Amino acid sequence: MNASRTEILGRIRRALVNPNRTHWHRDQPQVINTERLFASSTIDSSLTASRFQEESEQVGGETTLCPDIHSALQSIQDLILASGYSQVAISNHEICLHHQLMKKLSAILPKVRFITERLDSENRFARQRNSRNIAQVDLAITGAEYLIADTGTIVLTTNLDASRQMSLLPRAHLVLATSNQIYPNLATLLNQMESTLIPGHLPTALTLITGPSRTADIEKVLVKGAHGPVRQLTFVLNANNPKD
Amino acid sequence: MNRTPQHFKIYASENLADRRLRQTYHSATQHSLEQRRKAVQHVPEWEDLRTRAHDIKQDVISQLDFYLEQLEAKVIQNGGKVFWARDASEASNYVLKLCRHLKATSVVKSKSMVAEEIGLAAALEKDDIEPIETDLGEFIIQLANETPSHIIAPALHMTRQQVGKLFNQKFGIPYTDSPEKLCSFARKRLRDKFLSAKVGISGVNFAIADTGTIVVVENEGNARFCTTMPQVHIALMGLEKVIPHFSDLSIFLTLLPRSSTGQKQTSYVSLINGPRQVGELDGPDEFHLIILDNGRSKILADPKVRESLFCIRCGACLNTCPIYQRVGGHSYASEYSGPIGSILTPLLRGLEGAKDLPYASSLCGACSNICPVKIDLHHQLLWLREQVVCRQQDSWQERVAIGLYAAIMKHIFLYRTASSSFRFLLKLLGQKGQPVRIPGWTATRDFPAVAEKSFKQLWKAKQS
Repeated sequence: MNASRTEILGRIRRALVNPNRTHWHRDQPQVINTERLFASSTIDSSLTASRFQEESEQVGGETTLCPDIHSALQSIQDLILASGYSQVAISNHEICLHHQLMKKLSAILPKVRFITERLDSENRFARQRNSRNIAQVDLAITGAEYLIADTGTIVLTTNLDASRQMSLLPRAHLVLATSNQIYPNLATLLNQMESTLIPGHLPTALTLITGPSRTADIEKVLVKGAHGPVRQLTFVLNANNPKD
Repeated sequence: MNRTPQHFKIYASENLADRRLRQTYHSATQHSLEQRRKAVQHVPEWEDLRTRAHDIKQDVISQLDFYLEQLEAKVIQNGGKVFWARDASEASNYVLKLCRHLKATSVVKSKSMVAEEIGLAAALEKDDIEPIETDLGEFIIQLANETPSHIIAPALHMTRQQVGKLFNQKFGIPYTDSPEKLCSFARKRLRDKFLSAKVGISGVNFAIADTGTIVVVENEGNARFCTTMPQVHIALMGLEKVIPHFSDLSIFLTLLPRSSTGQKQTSYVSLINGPRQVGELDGPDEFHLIILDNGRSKILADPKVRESLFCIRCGACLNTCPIYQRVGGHSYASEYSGPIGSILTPLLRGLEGAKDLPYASSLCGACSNICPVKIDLHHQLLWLREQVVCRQQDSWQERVAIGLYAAIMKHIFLYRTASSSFRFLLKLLGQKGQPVRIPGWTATRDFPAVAEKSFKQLWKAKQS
């Protein structure tokens, strides 16, 4: 193992002798501001929510801009009833807890079974059981870390309260977010993250989701819902509303 | 039957004779090109991004040892394990060792060109471990016992009717040629495999040196399953896949999806920083990164072709190549087809066994123009042709013809004699107004008709 490592690095070093390395910035990694490369970095913050909606709908996502949490709850209720969902999972993301989604939705939808994720132990089988439960639900409601306007992308991170499977296993995935989580484009987001997150620790997984799961592997015909969710929904709360 | 790139000409002429296959390739490549064109036209900074991406790759490749060591250190810091593989068998054996250790009887696999390159599926099968391809295209060609015909769309060469028949024969489901129904069948069939597999294998689109992050780009969600649900996640990367900084990703994630499928962003991009941490609800317990050489350091040693290591495997050069569009991916008899394949296959497997591939190009430069990281593809193909000639691997007929031509062009007397006798000969061969026919040569092209008077005769007449 170690022998392979030494040999491969040796091969690379010998290969790079010709021509001699022109620049060598081992000591001072040069970071060029990528933000400035993109025209979309300057999208006005008042327009990001509508841009997000437009872009996500172009790729088959469903986005609703909500003035406040009450209208969002109303829309979620309508959605669950209209789609006939009987089992819904709600994550423990702080936005779901903050708005007491579990309590409020169970109260207005008594016939729907609501579940959440729990880690009873580090036991692998307990985790597998949890996965199988999540795989059974019709809809999963989670929060998101960021939204990206110019591609209609939502960004989820793994942490103790949010799993990756919630946004992957069910046939429909709903994200509840606020408008101040929207970044103009990927460059502005990654630059921001690079300056804040790197010195500490990156989350185990960051997932960028743009529209529902899809494939075009048979004759380039677009099919929604290959392995992941068939429906990708986003409810964006207006952050400027003082009531929330 | 083992197909080798040595027989490119045979495969190409077979495929050219297959009208339906040509139609399939034509519509698929034109569709992809149109999607790409639409996705690129609203990015005013496109050319700047290409240049910047080229510069980043240039920087990485010229200091590859430094960036790889940095990547390794960060992955280990994140809790992952790193394995360096000199060649295909070393990489496969490492995967096998991990599978045996877990007593795994199957692995779920997302699309990885490196896995194709090292023949991982065959190695697993030999060891009685079932490799389950989960990308729909890969799933289809695994079922048909074929090889990928395109870097991005492995089953590009198949019609929906062929896929329908295949599913009908192999699974006994009622025949359907509806892509939705076929896809939904694959979804159901694979779902349980995802939840029970112990080992998941994925490729790597980018590996970020300064954070140890592995980036996997996809549309279906199968790669998310492979990297999330099993106990162990093994990621396979060619050693050229590294990029320096986290923020560089915004450039590559703008270029790659637009160039490959014409999407602004793919449905899913997973940024993975090691295994599950204590307390987290899901994710693999172990994360292994395999860094593969398998001939890449040899490419690195030749400054003339070093740029081919910049490739981000978008497949745009395949779509735009007039040769690929017509002869199709299987003619190249390699996992890497099209212009980039015509460079990588001879370099990775040796020029001797693939000497026709550098000639599988019209040198029109469409590939270089479309390449999102600005690889000078057609000049590299030209350089490889030079290597074929320098190593005397061209045919003796060609050498005699070129030698004769060189001698004639060097002496005015020989030139005059040759050209007038050639004109005489052609006039004899061809009837008036009819094109000259030379067996073989004129089957696919016309021989230009001989002019009434030669340039010299015309010039003389004008002077007098």
